[in-house]
Amino acid sequence: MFGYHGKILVVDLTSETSHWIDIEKEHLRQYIGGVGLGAYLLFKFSVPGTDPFDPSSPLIFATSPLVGTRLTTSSKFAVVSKSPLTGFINDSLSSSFCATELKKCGCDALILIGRAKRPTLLFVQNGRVDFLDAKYLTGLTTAETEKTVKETLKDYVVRVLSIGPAGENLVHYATISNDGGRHAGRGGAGAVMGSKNLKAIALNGSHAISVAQPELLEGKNRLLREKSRSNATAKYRLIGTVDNLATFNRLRILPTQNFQFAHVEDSEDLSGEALQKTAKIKTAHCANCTIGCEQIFETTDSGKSIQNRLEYETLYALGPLCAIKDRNTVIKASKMCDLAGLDTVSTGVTIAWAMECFEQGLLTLKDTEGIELRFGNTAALIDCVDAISNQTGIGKLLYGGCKKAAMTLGQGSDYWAMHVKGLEMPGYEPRGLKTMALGLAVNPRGACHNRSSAYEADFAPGVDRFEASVEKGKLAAEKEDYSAVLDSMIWCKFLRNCFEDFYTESSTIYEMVTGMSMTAEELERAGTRINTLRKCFNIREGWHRKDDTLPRRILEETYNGIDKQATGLTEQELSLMIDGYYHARGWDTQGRVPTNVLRNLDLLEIVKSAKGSVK
Amino acid sequence: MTKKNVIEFTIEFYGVAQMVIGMKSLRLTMPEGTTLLDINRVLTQQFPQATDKIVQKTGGNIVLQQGHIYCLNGSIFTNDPDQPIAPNDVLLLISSSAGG
Repeated sequence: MFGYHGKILVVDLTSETSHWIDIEKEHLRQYIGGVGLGAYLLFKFSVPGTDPFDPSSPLIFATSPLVGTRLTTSSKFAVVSKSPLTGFINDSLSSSFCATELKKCGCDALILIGRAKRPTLLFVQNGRVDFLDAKYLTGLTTAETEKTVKETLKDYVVRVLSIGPAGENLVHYATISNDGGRHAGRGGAGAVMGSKNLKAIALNGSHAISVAQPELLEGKNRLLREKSRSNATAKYRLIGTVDNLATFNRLRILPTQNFQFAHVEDSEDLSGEALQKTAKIKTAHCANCTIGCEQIFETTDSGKSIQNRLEYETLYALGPLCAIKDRNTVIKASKMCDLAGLDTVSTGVTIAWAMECFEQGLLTLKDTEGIELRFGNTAALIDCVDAISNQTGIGKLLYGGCKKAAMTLGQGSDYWAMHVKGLEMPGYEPRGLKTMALGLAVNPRGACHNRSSAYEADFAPGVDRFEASVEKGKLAAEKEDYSAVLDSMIWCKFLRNCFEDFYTESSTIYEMVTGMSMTAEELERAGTRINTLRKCFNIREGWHRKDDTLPRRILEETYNGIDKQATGLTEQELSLMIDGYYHARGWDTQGRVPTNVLRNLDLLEIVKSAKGSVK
Repeated sequence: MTKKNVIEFTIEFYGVAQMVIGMKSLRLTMPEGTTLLDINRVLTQQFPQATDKIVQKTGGNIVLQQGHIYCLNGSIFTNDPDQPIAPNDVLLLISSSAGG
C-alpha cells in the first residue's frame, strides 16, 4: 500500500496489551487522514455517552498519507478524542517529527484506551509496545519529561509526546506536548491522556513509507517548496502570526478585556512589528517545513533568560484579553503554559473571566488566596497560570475552563464566560466579523478559528464583514470543508496561498502519494463528509441547535467599532445565518442530518452501525 | 493642478508592508479620481524596495503582490485597481492572510 499502512495500532493501558486492526482502503480514501481519519475512528470506536475521562474513551493519534513523504509542511498529526471542555468531538493538530516517527512504527493511527494502574511511559518501537513505570516522571514539566525519557531510554533519536503537570492534574485544557515544545493544544487532549495515567509516549520506528509516484511527487514538492518561500508566506516567515495584533487592533476586531472592547490603546509593545525589533531572537521551522513561521522571543526574569515561541492567539489571550500590555509578562506566561502543558487560549480566556468576576465582586481575595485578580495586573496573571497548572488556590475553580467555572460560581457569571460549547474563544471579535461569528457558533469543535477558517471569507474582497445574512451560511460551510481537507491531508494552513487550485492540486498529490484515484470534486466532498461525521458525533453525544450559539455578551452588547460605530450581532441575526448554514449543508432546520444527506456522503453505514468498541 | 481638484488621504502600513516601506503611515495628495492603480504606481516610484515585495508590475497594471490587500476605511477589503479613493479616506495596507 502506498501512502498508508492500512493498519491501526490499538493499545489498552488497563490490560497492558496491544493489537493491530486493519482499515480498509476505501475508508482511508474517504476520510484521508488526520482530523478526518481521527473522526472516523472516534465515531466507530467510542461508546456513545461515555465521559471523556472514562477509561474506555479512546484517545487517537492519526497521521496522514502525506506524513513521511518529503512534501513541505507535511509532518503533522491529529489528536482526536471527546473533549472534557465540550463533551463533543475534539481534534488538535501538531507539527513535529512525532508524526513521521508514529507512521514509521507501521501504523496510520494509534488508538489508546484504558487507564494504566500506575503512571506509565508507553514505548512504541515498530510493532513492539512496552508499558514502562513512569513514576519518576510525575510532576515534571513537558520539557523535563521529554529530556528525562530520552536519557532513561538512552535513546536520543526517540520522539516523545508528553503531558506536563496540567495534564496530570486533569486541567481540562491541558495539551499534549511533543518534540521540544510542540503542542496538540486545544480542547484538552492532555487531560484525556492524564486520565489514562499516561505521562508520555516514546516513538521509534523504522518502517519504510513508500509513495506511488515518487518522481512526479518530488517535482510537485519542488514547486511547493519554492512557493512556500515566496510572497504568499511573507507574513508568516518575516513576522509570524503575531502580525495580526496591530492589524486586528486597527480593524477593531482584537478582543480586549474579556470582549468588553475590540481595541486597546498603547498596544505598541505587543505588536508583531515591535516584537521583531525588541524581543525576537530567531525563527524556527516545524519538522519538514520550508516556511519557518515560528518566531522565538526572549525576555528575562530575575536576570534569567526566558525564550519562547509566541503566536497571535497566545499574544491575544494572555495579553489584551486580560488587559496586559507588557510583552515580557506575555512571554513569561506563555513559557509557563508550555512547560505545564496548558492551552494558552483557554488559559487566557478563563483568567479573563476570573478577572471580570473579581472586578464585579463575585470573586474575592479570599477566593483567589490573595491574588488581586484585576485586569492588567501582570503579577496576577503569572500567579494564576501557576495556580491553574497545579490546581491550587483559584486554580481549583479555573481548571475546568470558563464554562465549568461559571457553572460552579453561579451568580450570573456565565454572562462573562466567553466560550462556544465550552471551548474558549479565539482572538477574532465576532461582532465585527460576521462570517467568523457563524463559523465559531456552528463548528463541532466549539469556538475554533482553525477548523472554521471563516475569517478568510470576511477578509476577502466583495464580502461585507459587518453584514449578517443568510448567504454567510454557504461561505462558512465552504470554508469549514476546505479546512477539513487541509487538516486531513494534512497541510499547514500557512501553505494554503501557495496553491492556485487547492482541490485540484491536492487531489493530484493524493494520487501521486497513494496511487488511489481522487478527483478535486471527491476531495471537496471528503471535506463535507468529515464535517458531517464530526457533527453526527456531536448529535450522538446530545447536541441540540441551542448549542450552536455565541456567548451572551456577544449577542447582547455592542462595542465601539470603526469610527466608534456601535458594532453588534443580535441573536436573530445569528439565527438567520445559522439557518443559512444548515440549509447550505442540506440539514433540517434543527441542524439534524437527514438520511439522504448521510447516504449521499456514504455515511449511512458508519452512522447507523458503529458499535463503539475497539476491543 | 489647483487645490480644488486634488484629494488628500492616508495610507497606513502594517506588517510586512511596514517593514518594507519603512514607515507606519503616509499622507498623500493626489488628483481627484485617484484609484488604487495610481496609488500602487506611487508606491513603486517612492519606494523602489516595494516592487516585487508589496506591488508588482503585470502588463500595463501595477497590482498588489500576493499576500497583501487594502482595507478601505477599515471596512472594505479590496485589491481592485479601479477602486476610487475619496478625500480623507484611510487605506490600510495589510496582510491578506488573517489566520493565526
